[in-house]
Amino acid sequence: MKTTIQTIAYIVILALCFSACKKDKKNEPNPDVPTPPTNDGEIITTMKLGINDGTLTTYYMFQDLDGDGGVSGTYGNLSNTMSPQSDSIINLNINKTYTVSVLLLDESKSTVDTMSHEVLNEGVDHMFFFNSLNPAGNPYSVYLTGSLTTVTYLDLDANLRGIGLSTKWQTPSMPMGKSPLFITLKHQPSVKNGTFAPGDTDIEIPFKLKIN
Amino acid sequence: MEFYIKKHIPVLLYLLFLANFKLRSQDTCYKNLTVRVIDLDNGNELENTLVTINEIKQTQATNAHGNITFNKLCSGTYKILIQHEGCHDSILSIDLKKDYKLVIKLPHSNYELSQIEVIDKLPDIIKTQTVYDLKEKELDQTRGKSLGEALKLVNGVTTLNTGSSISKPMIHGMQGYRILILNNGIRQEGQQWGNEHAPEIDPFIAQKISVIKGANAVRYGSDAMAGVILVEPNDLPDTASLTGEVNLVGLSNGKTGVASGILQGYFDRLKGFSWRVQGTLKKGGNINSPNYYLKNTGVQESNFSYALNYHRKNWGIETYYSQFNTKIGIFSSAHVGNLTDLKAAFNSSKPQDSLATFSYDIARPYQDITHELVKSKFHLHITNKWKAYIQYAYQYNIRKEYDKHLPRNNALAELNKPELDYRITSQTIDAVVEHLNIKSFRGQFGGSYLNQQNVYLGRFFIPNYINNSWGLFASERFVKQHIEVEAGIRYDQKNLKSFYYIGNKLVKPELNFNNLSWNLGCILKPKTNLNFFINMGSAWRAPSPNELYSNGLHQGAGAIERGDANLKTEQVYNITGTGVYQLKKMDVELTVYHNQFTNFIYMEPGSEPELTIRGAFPVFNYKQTNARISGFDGKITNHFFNHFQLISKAMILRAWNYSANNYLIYMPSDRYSVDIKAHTKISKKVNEIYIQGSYQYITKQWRVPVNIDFVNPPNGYGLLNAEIGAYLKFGNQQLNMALTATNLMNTIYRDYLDRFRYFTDAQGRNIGIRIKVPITIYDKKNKQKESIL
Repeated sequence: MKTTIQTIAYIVILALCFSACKKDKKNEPNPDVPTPPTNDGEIITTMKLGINDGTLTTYYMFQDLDGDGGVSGTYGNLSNTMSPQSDSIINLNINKTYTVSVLLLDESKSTVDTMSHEVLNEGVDHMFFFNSLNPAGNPYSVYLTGSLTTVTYLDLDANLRGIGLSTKWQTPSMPMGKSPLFITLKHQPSVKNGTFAPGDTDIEIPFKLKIN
Repeated sequence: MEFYIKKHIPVLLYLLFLANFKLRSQDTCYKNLTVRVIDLDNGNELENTLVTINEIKQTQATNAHGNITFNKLCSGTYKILIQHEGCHDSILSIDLKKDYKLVIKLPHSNYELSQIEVIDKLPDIIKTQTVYDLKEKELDQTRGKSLGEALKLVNGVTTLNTGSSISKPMIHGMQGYRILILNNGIRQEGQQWGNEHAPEIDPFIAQKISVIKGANAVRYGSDAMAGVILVEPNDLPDTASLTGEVNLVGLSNGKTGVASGILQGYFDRLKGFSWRVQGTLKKGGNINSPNYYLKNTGVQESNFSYALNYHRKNWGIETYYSQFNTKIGIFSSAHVGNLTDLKAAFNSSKPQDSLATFSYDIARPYQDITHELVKSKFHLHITNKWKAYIQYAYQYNIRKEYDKHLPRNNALAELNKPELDYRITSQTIDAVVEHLNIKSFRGQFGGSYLNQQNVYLGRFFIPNYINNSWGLFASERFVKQHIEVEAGIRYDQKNLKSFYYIGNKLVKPELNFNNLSWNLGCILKPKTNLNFFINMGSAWRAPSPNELYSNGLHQGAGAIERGDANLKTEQVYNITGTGVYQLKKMDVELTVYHNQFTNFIYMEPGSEPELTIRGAFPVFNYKQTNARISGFDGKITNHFFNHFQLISKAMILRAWNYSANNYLIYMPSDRYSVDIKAHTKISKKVNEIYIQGSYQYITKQWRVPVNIDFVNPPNGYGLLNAEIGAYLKFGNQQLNMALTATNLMNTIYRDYLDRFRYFTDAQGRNIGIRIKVPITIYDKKNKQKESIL
């Protein structure tokens, strides 16, 4: 009997030796303390459009603080700004030239990250598009048929293709009703060619443009 | 020899009846001898029993019905050796004067020191249900495929695919949580919550894969709703031996190579110890559809396992360890972002990355999965009729999913962390007591316990949770010659504590579920060649954590999924009937089934897409409904001219959502196949050569809820497959070689149950070579037998 017990003990010990599991296991948190939502993953939560008519800057914003899923994103209501807008309609005046700059933020972290810096640094892999149109000409520009507005890229990447963080918008000489304006940031690593098709969508926000 | 006979004369060997067959020929050397072997205890037909006729030096194994026929025997006296695993070898003499049919009842329950590991198999599957086994030759044909693809050989089983490298088995249209997979006797506890999560099992471990269709809750767990898949390795040897097997597979599509080896032995000096080591390596690159390569569709796999058993006369202990590692590239054009991208992908005839060339490299996006299993089992033969076992298993599963792009932030990018990182640790204990024939009853009862912990390290998709479940069951079977009746009952309780954040607030919901399940079945055997299996039962499952709490973008699926914390228990009532009729030249097997669900959990598309900074995403909400799934599987096997075999199969399925008054989404369409095989034996060295062609037609699934899927279901398609192979004998080893072709005509098609159908055509022609080499370094058992004869 004693030898039997010894044998069993021997086998069980051997079995335990087998179970030398992956070292990873030790880095695991306890199940009752889940990884907090603000972990070190990278997301873009906020896009701000600053529209300057030469004297005054108006801000428009889209914000989705908890990322994809969860609570739906909303069009911004900017405090601390001169002229906050709370819906998706961008109001411009006739016969004006506006300078538009895009600011991208990650506000899910305790210290807000400015993601537009990363986009600028990796300009050769990123590009903004307006209504999915392929820009053309010199200077690089697109013509928005719904609002008769011309958008010209002011920033160029190392390959002399537009990035679109900074653009110039030329409005027409007559008022136009609301027309859709999709602003899209495409991530096009190694495939950026100045057109909309390649790559994946990082940002896509539907605004409406109205010329008063 | 005399010694041997003396020792074995008193074996319980019954010659039931010696039936006359019509004399076919006056010629003295045209006698047929049919041997039928059945289990003395339960009347089961014993497959794979070796029947040797000494005088003609011929050994053959019985077929699935326990039958074997020797043709063209001369009149005279023959010595016949019957060998079956777990039984005494038996020898008998027969004086052959005309055609004979010999029925032998083998006692199954005697054992002695040299045959200790006998009865300690997995507890019997519920016998009143039909079991579909993939063994030997059929299993050989699946080598190189994933477990899911291998299971498709079983009529009624389809797969839910994410390209060619991820396939989830589906029994009668049900998959994931509704199917139970038992890997070497242990419930596979991986991560079943996504449609792109395939079972984490090396198919080369299996020497036998069985599928039990229909609700089978009592024995295996309350959630075995659609059926059970058993993946079983061979028994370890019980006499001094050192044997093994090497499998090599090469496939043209993806330039895939697979190598797998098994080595097992029994120590001559260390009595009672047997062992096995096994390992598999697989590597494949970008696969190609008929017109283009699919970028980033490579797959790598490295698996190994080892087993060590120790057996005494009345007890034994088993230990087993296995590790499964795989890295699967996800077709980069299928990893799309928002609704705009999805629509663009659906509308383009070719995927965005269709200009790709061949490469073995796996880049982002990809999955990296590890599954570990440690098992320990102790069994005891209490008396001749009572036996018991207790087993403990530990499983650890890591699933890492890498998104398509690295973070833009360089410091983060350098870490190259997976965006999704889930770990599940499961511990199970099972204890079962079984009894053999007490009067005409056999039965088993026992209990099981599961503790499971889930944690996430990356992005949130499903919460952390702790799941504690236990169950108790009892089942009895009444066995008579023409009828068997079985009844079983089971009670389960489940406690689920979840932990996740809403905003910045940690919530800890706790849920309790409990329920009864039962089954009732019978086999009617009006004739030996005509059997009816009728089984009904209930099964239930608690809603899973992803169905309850998931809330976010399912990156691989390109959709936002929302759980419902108020989901209730899902319940099914199932009735399955099967008829098996064996004629001389034809076998017929028909199954009809009906599943009635209450609170069937499914995903329903939301009416409005959700707006995120990345654009609009489709939303899917988990809902419950009453539903039914019913259908028919049929298979007819014809044998003709001794060398030809024709198998015709049909599978028909209907599913209905009562609440929505609509079809259920993602159900397999009807399908038909014919398979013709010509085979012959050329010489003693060339045991069999065969040529085989099969044609499978999958009809278009038009029974779908309209305007719910992103795109309409693809058209039906037909695929032609072919195989040429041989079984060659070198000494004691039987070598198998085959040249195979799937999608021989390079047909362009998309399958309704393949998620990649949204983005690309399916895999094109695939030519393969397969070699199986068994190895016998030494085997005392075989030598003994040779010397006996």
